[in-house]
Amino acid sequence: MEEKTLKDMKEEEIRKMEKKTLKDMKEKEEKEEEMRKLELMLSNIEIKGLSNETLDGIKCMTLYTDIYIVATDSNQVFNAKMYSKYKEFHNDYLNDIVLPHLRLHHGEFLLKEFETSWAHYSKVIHNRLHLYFRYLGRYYVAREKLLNLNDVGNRCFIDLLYEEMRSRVMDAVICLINKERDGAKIDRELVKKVVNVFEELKLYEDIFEERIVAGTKDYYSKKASLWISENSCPEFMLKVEECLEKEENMVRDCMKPATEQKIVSEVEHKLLVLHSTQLFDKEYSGLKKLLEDGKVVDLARMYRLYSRVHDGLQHVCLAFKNHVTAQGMALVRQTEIEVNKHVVKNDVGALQNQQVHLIMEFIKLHEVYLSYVNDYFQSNSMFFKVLKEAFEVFCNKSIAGVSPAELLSIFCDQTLKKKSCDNDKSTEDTIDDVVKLLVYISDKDMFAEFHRKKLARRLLFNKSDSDEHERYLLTKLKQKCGRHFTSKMEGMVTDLTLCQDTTASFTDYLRDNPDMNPGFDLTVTVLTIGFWPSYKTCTFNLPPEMLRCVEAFKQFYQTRTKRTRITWLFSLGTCTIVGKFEPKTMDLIVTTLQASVLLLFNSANRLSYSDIKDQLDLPEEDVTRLLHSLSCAKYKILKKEPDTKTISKTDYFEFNSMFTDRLKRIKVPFPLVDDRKKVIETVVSDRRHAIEAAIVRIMKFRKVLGHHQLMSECAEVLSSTFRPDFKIIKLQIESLISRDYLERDSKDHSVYRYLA
Amino acid sequence: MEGTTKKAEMVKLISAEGFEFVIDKQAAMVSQTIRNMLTSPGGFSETQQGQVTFPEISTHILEKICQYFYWSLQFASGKETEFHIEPEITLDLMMAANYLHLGRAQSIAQDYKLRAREQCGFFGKASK
Repeated sequence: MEEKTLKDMKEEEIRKMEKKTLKDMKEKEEKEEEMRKLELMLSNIEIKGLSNETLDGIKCMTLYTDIYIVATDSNQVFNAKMYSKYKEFHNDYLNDIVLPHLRLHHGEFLLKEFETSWAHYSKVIHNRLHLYFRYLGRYYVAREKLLNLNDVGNRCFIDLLYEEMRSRVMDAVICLINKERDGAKIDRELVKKVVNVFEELKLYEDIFEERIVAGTKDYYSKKASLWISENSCPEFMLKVEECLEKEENMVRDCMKPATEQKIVSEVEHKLLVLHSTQLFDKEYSGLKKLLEDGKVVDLARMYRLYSRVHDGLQHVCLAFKNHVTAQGMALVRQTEIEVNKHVVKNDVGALQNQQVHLIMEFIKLHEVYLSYVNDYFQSNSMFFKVLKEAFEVFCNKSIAGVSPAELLSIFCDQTLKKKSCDNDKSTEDTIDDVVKLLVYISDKDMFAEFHRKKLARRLLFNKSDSDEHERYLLTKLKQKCGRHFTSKMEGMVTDLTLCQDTTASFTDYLRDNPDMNPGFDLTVTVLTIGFWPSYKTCTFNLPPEMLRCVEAFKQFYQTRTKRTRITWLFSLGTCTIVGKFEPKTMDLIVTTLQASVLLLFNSANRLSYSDIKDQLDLPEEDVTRLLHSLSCAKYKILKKEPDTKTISKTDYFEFNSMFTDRLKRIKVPFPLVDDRKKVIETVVSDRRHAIEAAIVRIMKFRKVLGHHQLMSECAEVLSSTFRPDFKIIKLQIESLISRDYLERDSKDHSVYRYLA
Repeated sequence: MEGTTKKAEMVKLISAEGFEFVIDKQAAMVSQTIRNMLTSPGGFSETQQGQVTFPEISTHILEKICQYFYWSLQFASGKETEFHIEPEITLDLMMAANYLHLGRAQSIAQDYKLRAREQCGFFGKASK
């Protein structure tokens, strides 16, 4: 029994094996059959047939269905083959049809062919193939993570035509664009189409942009060297401006916006940056010459062009600064020469005229160049800065020993004395100009002091044209320089206004107390001591008539305030004296002191120098000056023995009854002492105090500070008023140390410590 | 092809047996495959304008497919109703849906198939 089953088992096995091999063979056959079917089916897709304009509906579905069947087959063996066939179809089309066509054409026709080939390829050929193989894309491609069917189309195109595109196609594009740059009209639509192709292929940046920018570089390199040698600076700039406009226009029209910046910066670089030095330094038309000739249109263009380039304006700015400085310095030098001439001749009037003239020239210069910055340099802050620096250079130059602060104050004085009949400018505009110039002057406190002196004189002798203008100037100065700058001056102006009140009350008082009335018209101006410049008071014997006036006012003033004390400044007063001369009676307008001299001759006809001096009890120099003004100057009211031009102590003076003049009312001038030096002294000592105060303030805040830092901070704090001399700061530090305000650090001698 | 929304354009779907189903173009476009065919540039020849033959799809299935198209449009515009599938045709329907690339139908059919499987209980081994 067992033997039989063994045999049976063996036979069974053999039979099984036979079955298996048969099966294998059958499978193999089937596979080959399938393969053949696939080949057949795929061969149905003729490449040339793809280009047919119309789609055969049945054929389409058939192909799709065939591929579907193969793809959904239980053994997925043919998918790979189909995928590669798909690629192969694309490549074959490109190689057989597209490339040969492209190679046949050149230039513009090449571009046209390129564009149409791509259109046909992507829209017709590729789409159809995609249609048939669509089912493959859904599962197989995604599963195997292969390049999806859509992208295969682009990829094949790129792989086969990359070199072609990069070289021949782009050459043609560049050639076309250069033609337009040279002035011809080209087919921009074609360029746009080519751009689109590259964009669809995602090669815009790599191929198109890169080569266009390179082409731009080449083109403008050549043009730049040509133009710079042939053209003057303005002509060149004009060309550059035109080019930039054209390029921007073209890029915006044809290409992608990102390219604009790249191309424009290339153009700017080649045309503006590389040759900038050559351009500026051109001898007959360069930057310097443009400024000198005032060629503002060209300058404005230069500004516009170079403001595009990074750091492009440095050079222009510097040239502008140098030009303005040179102009200013030329004015200074010219005035210096003129002034020296007048100094030699001792012609004070002409000297003053020159000085005033200089300030006016400065103002004009400032106006002109400010308008430059605003109108042509687009109010660029860098240019404002260099304008300021330039002005600071020459506005601080002294002319023949007279500091610019003083010059400005002289100008100011003239402006405020004049009647506002100046047609060109209103007084207020001139005042504005003065304040603008003041900003550039470093010794502002010097100006303040001089101005205060002159203001005092104007106010007291009623020379000021208008109170309003004075106030206007003060307001402006307060705005620019701070309240402390103008506080004293404002006080002065206020005093004058108050005086009107006082005078009215005084008149009432005299009416009420007729016995006090001195019998003359008396106007007293009360000055608050801190505001007005200090005037020296001197011993003086008043004539009796005047004494009465003084008494009356004294009494009156007591009724108003018991606490304030008044000191009389006779040197500042004016007096109108009636002179009964033989030819005719005349009114003489003189100073109080001159009047007292003349009144002496009421009681005596002839007086000696010493007589006069004793009676008046004045210092010698004053007496000399007084007598000179009355006997040796323009109006000889007193006769002098001997009749020389100078006063000596042995002279005799006699009332000149024969004196007369054309006018009935004359003003006898009394030359003022040159107190310039005094003003400067005052300012210098004030500065010392200011420095000291600043040092103390800084040290109080900082407690400990190094030497250099202290110096620099001090200078900075004071910079709005004046520029301090470092030696003086040092002196003040030493003085403060000796007075135990500061001490030197024991370890480091250059560090200071504040002592509370 | 200028298809305006005003004028209802029709397409003809022909089954394996030769039955012709004329439906709205918009409905037919629910099928990705049909959509690609109809929007492929180059267009059909005049005789074959707007008609697609499906030699592999039986009439009954194609009919169901057409119903599906319309249901899909309604569903998309807000009418959320159920789409009933007879269990016998689920497999064929699913394959047709696959062929025609109807995403939703596939999933619906799959759904039904699963349910049928649960009910019948022994389908599982046979399917892939």
